[in-house]
Amino acid sequence: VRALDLVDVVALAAEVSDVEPPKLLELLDTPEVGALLAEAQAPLPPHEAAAALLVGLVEIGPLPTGNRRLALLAALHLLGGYGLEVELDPHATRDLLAAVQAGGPDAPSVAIWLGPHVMARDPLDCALRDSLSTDAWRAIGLAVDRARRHRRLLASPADLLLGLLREGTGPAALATGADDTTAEVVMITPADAGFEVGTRTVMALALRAAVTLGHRQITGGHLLLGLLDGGHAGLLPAGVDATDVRRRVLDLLGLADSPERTDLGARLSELIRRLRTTDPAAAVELEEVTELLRTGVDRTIETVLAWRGELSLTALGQDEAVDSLLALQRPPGPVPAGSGEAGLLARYVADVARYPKLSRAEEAELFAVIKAAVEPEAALSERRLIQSNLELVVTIARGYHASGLPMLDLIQEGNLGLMQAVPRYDPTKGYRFTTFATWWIRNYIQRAAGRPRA
Amino acid sequence: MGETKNMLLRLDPELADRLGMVAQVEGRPVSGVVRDAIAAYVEARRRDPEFRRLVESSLSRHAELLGLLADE
Repeated sequence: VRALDLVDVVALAAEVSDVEPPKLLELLDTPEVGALLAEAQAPLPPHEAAAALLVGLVEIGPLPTGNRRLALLAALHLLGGYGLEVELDPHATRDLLAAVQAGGPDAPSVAIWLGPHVMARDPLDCALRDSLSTDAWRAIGLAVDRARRHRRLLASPADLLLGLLREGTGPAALATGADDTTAEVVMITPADAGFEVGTRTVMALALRAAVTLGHRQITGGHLLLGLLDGGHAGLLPAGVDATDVRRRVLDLLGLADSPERTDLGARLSELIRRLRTTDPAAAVELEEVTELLRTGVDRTIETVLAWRGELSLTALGQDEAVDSLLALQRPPGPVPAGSGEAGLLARYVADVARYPKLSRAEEAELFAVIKAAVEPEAALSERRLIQSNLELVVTIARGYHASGLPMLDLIQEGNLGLMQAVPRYDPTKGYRFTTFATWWIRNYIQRAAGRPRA
Repeated sequence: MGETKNMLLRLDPELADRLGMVAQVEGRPVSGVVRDAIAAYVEARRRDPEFRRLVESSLSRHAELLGLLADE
């Protein structure tokens, strides 16, 4: 994955045009297109950069024909580089591009239109967004910030490691002995950030580490384990031993292997070896059981990594991902009461947890009532759907605490998104309401989180 | 070849010498070698796996929209 450059645009033009590449280069290598590409590489939110590219290429019209197709492909390519995809209504988009060509909507207006249609291609983004702890957020923010300061669009594993070291408060910093607690908090959302493929793999491995260790959050410690598992131990500062770091991270995560557990594999092998001489059948059985246990763990890992597969609103698999994330995020014990925002939040969370979750059949029944539009049943059904998903809003809002907005404000925005989702949901499409609502909730929260504050 | 456009190409002397030598060895005009080099460069980008993946994804996901835009 890389930033969009002139060769990309020429190569994209070659996809929609019969003109020979040297001629295409000649047509596209102009100051206007150059300025447009420079603008698209500026640190803008991806949908704004894509909108600028889309509108700019349609307005400039550098090709004899196929300019709108080139503009669309270029915008999609730019978003794809960030791991983002777009759901577009073909006819509405065609009309919009025709209006742009006629001098209608400008780039900022198109960005506002485009924003709600953009979604993360990779469920890993959703998993990370919802499960990162504060120190992991800070580390990732610092990694992205470092990449940008070095004029790179995508953060590398090395950026991530330096982010972890600079972050200075989480398990990763403690395990590596870094004590720089002056690191500033960088406000960033995964949708704004680009990561190299290697960095994304590290994040997937961090998620795997969290899930296999039974943790509800991905901390900097898990990210550090991901770096080590991803073969980046060589990036550690000179004199820092990777095995020692791993042991210290596990120790800080509260999972240090006791000598008994560390020796478990060796003891098992010894037991099997001894059994082979006294009871060969039992030895074989023990080997089989051991293998089954290993397979079980591997399958869990595969399931988690499978989230990285294709994601769209029509992909049924996303329901499972959302459910799994909800399971990951569920608070471990009784919520504390208190005064101030924390107390209000705790009470709110406890309140919304009381509304029962709906089964697929119950969901379908409520939407059938809403569709029949008979009052007051329709309004009551709508309310029940909203109430049963208020906890989902809280879960998603938690992922945006780094935005600096009070959590209750984020929840409020997410609730508005949830309310928008109910009348727009089409049960015939086959995916669960939670899948659809997640997009609307996230979108409203993202908009609020990205909005300049008074 | 259809309509062409004259371009001024600034190269360092060593690269210009190598370009001249390639053209001479192949018995072709320098402009032909440059054109082929550009075409090969663009083609290499088009064959890049990551580029291909993103393009194929866009072409298949938005086939209907791209079809609607083909009437330009």
